[in-house]
Amino acid sequence: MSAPVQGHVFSGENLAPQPVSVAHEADMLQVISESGTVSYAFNSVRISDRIGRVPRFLYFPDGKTLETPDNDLVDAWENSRRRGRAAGIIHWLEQRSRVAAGATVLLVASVSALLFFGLPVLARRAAFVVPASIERKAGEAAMQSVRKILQPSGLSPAERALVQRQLNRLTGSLPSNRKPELVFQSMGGKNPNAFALPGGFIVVTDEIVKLAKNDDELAAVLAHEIGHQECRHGLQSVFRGSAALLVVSSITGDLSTLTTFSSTIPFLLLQRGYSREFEAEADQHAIGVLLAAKIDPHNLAKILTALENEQPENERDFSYLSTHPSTAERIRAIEAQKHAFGAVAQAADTASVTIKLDQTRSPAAADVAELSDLGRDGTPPQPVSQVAPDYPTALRRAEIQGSVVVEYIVDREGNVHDVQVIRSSHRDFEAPAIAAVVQWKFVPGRKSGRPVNVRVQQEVSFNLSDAESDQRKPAERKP
Amino acid sequence: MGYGPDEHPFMSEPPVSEENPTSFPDARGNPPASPAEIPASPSQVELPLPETTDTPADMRRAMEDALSPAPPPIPEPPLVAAMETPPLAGTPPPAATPPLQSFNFHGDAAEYFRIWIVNTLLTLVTFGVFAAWAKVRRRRYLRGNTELMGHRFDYRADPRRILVGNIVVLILFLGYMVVGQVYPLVLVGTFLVAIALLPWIVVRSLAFNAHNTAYRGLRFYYHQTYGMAAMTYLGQALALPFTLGLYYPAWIRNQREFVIANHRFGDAFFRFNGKNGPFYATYVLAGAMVFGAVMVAGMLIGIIMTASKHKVMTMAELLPFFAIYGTTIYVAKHFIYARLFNHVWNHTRLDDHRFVANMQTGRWLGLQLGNLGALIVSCGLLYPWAMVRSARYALSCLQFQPAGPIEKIARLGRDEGNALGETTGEFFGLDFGL
Repeated sequence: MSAPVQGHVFSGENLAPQPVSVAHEADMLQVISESGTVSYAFNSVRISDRIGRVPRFLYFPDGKTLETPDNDLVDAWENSRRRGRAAGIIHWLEQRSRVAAGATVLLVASVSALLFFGLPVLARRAAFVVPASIERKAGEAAMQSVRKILQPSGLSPAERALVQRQLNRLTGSLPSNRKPELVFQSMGGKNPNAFALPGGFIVVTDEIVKLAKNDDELAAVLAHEIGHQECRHGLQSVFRGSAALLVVSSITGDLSTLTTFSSTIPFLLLQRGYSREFEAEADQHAIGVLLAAKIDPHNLAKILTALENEQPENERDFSYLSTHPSTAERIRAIEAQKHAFGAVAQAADTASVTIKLDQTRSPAAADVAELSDLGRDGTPPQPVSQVAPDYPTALRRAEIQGSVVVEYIVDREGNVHDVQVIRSSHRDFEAPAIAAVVQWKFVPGRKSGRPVNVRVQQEVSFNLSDAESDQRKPAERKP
Repeated sequence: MGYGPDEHPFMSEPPVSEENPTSFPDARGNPPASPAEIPASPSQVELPLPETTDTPADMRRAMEDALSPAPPPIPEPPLVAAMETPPLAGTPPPAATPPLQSFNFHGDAAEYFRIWIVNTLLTLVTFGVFAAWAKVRRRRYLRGNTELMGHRFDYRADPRRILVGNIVVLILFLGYMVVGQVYPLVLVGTFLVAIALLPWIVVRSLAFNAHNTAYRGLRFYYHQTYGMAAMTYLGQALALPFTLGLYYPAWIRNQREFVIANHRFGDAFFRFNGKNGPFYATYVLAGAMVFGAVMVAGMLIGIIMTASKHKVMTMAELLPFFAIYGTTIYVAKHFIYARLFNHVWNHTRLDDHRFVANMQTGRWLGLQLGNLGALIVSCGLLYPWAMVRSARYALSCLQFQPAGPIEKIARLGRDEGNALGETTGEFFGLDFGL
C-alpha cells in the first residue's frame, strides 16, 4: 500500500481534465474523483515507460488516460507487481552520468573499430563469395561508365597485341574463368594509369603503354592490376562503401541533418585509406606473379617511379591525402617482399627455376663482407653500368638539389640487392635513387681472389646541371 | 543540423495540400445567418441545415447555437471562465483578444544526452534491433516535455511496429544495394518505383505519426488521401520544368497545405491559408544568399588559382570553396525554416483556434550556426544538446490562441479514443520522419 498517485484523467471523449487520485490496492487500481471511484484490474492498465522526468501516462482499458507527474509512485507500483523491468533498467542507465560517460567512450571506440577493422573483414569475405558471373556483371556496369569518362584508345593493333602478349606471360597459372580481359582507353595525353575493375577487366591507357620503357615494365603494371583483380579489390570497395554508409547512417540516423559537406570529408579520407591498403596488397601479389613469370620485380619499382614523375606535381604536394602509398614506401616494400618470395620459391621450386630466381635473391647476411674485410689483396666491386636516377619533376622545378646515401649489397654476380636509404636530403629523392641503384651492374668484389658479396655505401647526388641533360632518358654511363 | 523535424510535433513544420474534403471557405468565423439566431423556446427550434463544408465541430456548434438561448450581447464577455456559455463562433467577442497560451519545453540537455547516448549504444550492441525502442524513447522525451496549458504531449507508437518497418526498409535497401551493383537497370527501376510510392510513403508516415501523437488523452489524426498526395507531390512537380522552377515556392506552399489541412485533432480540423507571396520572398532571398556565396567562393578560388599558377586544383585549395558553399546552404536552409515557421504557423488554425509564431530569423540562425560548430567539433556527439536548444527556442516562439475553451474539442470517430490504439490494422509503422 503506497500513497495515492495524483493526476488528471482524460475521458478520450473531449479534452476536459478531471483531477483524480489513484490508489493501488491488491490487484486493483482505484481511480477516485469527485464523481466517484472506478476500479480497474492492475494488469489491464498499460503504463508508459519511464523516461527522464516526463510525466507518466496510464492507459485504461475503457479508453481513458491518466497523466501524472508522480513518476516515483508509479515506479513503486510497477516494482511491487514486477512489471516494467526492462524499461526500468534502461531508465536506470539513462540517469547515470558515469554510464553516459562510459557509453560515449564505448560508442566512439566501437564505431571507429567497426569502420576501420570490422568492415574490411566483412567486405573481404563477402567479395570472395560473390559468384564470378555476378562479379562480371558488376564489372560490365563499371566499364560502361569508364567508357563514358575516358576517350577511345589510339593504340595500333600491333601495340595492343604487344600488351596482350605481356599479359599472357603472367596469366598462365590463373584458372580459365579468371583470365583478365584487356580494355584500351586513352586519358587524353595526361595522367598515365591502369586499373582493374571487378570481373577481370584491366583498363590500360595509351599513356602508360608509352611510359613503360620495356616489356617487363609493362608486365609489371599488368601484374599489379592482376593483383587487384585476384584480391577482388573492386568488389571489396563496393561493399565497404555501402556497408560503411549503412552502419554510419543507422547509428547516426539522427545526424542526417548535418549537411553533406561535413559528412563527406571523413568518408573521403576513409576511402583513400582503403585504397592505400589495397595498393600495397596488389604490389605484394604482383611480385609473386612476376617471379612466377620469371620477370624481375624491380620493373615494378621502376615503372612506379616513372608514374610518380608523370603525376601533376600539385597532386603530390599532399601525400597524406593521396590514394596511393608514397612511391618510396612501396618500392621499399617491394624490395623486402621480393626476397621473401624468392626464398619461398627457391625452397619449393625445381632447380631450373631456382637458378633464375637466385639472381633476385639477396645473399644471406652472414655471407656478406664489408669493404674493410676484403683485405689488401681484395678488390672492391667496380661499376660496369650506372643508371642515373630520374630527377623528381617537382624538385627540379623548385630547383632543389640534394643527395641520398644508400647502402646495398653487390653479390657475386655483380647484381645489386637490399638497397636501403641511410639518409637523404629530401624524401622525394629516395624512391628514384633506389630505383636507379637496383639497376646498376658491377664487377663483383673479390677477396683472396674469389668473388664475394660486399656491402657498399654510396651517395647518389641529384644535381640540376646533370638533370637537365638526362631527364627522361637515363643514360648509361661507363664509370 | 536542425532538429529532425521528425522529432517534434511542433517543430516539424506543419504539414500541407490542395483542396481537401474540409476546405475552409471561411464559413466559420461568420455567424450562421440562420433562424438559429432567433431566441426560441427549445421545442420550436428550427435546426440549422448543415453545409457541405461544415466540419463535425461546426455542426455541433450550430446545433448548440440553435438549442441554447442566444446569449445577450455582452460588451466584454469574460472569455476563459465562461465554461457554460462559451463565446462561440456565432457570437464573436468584439475586439477582446483571447489570451495567448505558450508552449513550454521542459527538456534538459544533459538528461537528453544521457538518454540519447545510452539508447544509441544499445542500438549498436543489439545490431540495430533496439533502434525502434530508442526512437520511441527519444520522441517520448521530446513530446512529453512539451507542455501546453498545463498538460504534456504523448507519443504512443509501439516500437515493435517500428521494428517491423525498419526490417522491411533494411531488406529493400540491401536488395537494392546488392542487385543495383550488378544490374544497373534495376537502379532505374527502383528509382521509378520509389517515385511512384512517394505519395503513399508520405501519407503513411504522416498518419502513423499523427495517430501516435496525443494530447489530453486524444490522438491526432491524419486523413489519408493518396490521390491528393500524388497530385500534390508528383503532379505539381511536373509543373516545375515548364515554369523553369519558378513554381517551386508555390509547390512547397501546397505541400504544406496538404500536410496541415489533412490533420485533425478530434473534431477540430487544421486549416492552412498561407499565401504564396511569403514563400516566394523567402526562397528568392535564400537563393540570392547561395548565389552570392558561390560568387564569393568562386572569386576566392580564382585568386588562389592565380596565385598558385597551378592548372589543376588540389583538394586543399578547393576546401574554402566547399566550406563557404556548404555553410551558406546550411544557413539558407535555416533561414527558410525560420521565415516559413512564422508564416505557416501564423496562417494555421485548429478550428477557430489560432497560432502565433514570432521566431527571430537572426537568433535562429545564430543558434543553428552554434549547433553546426558544436556538431562538427564533437563529431555529432553534441546532437542531443543541439536538439534541446533548438526545440526550446522554437517552442518559445510559438503560442496558441484559443478562440474558446478547448475542452470543447471532442473525439470524432472510433479510432482515436482507444488508449491502446493499435487499431489501425496496419502491418507495420512506416515512419520516415517527414
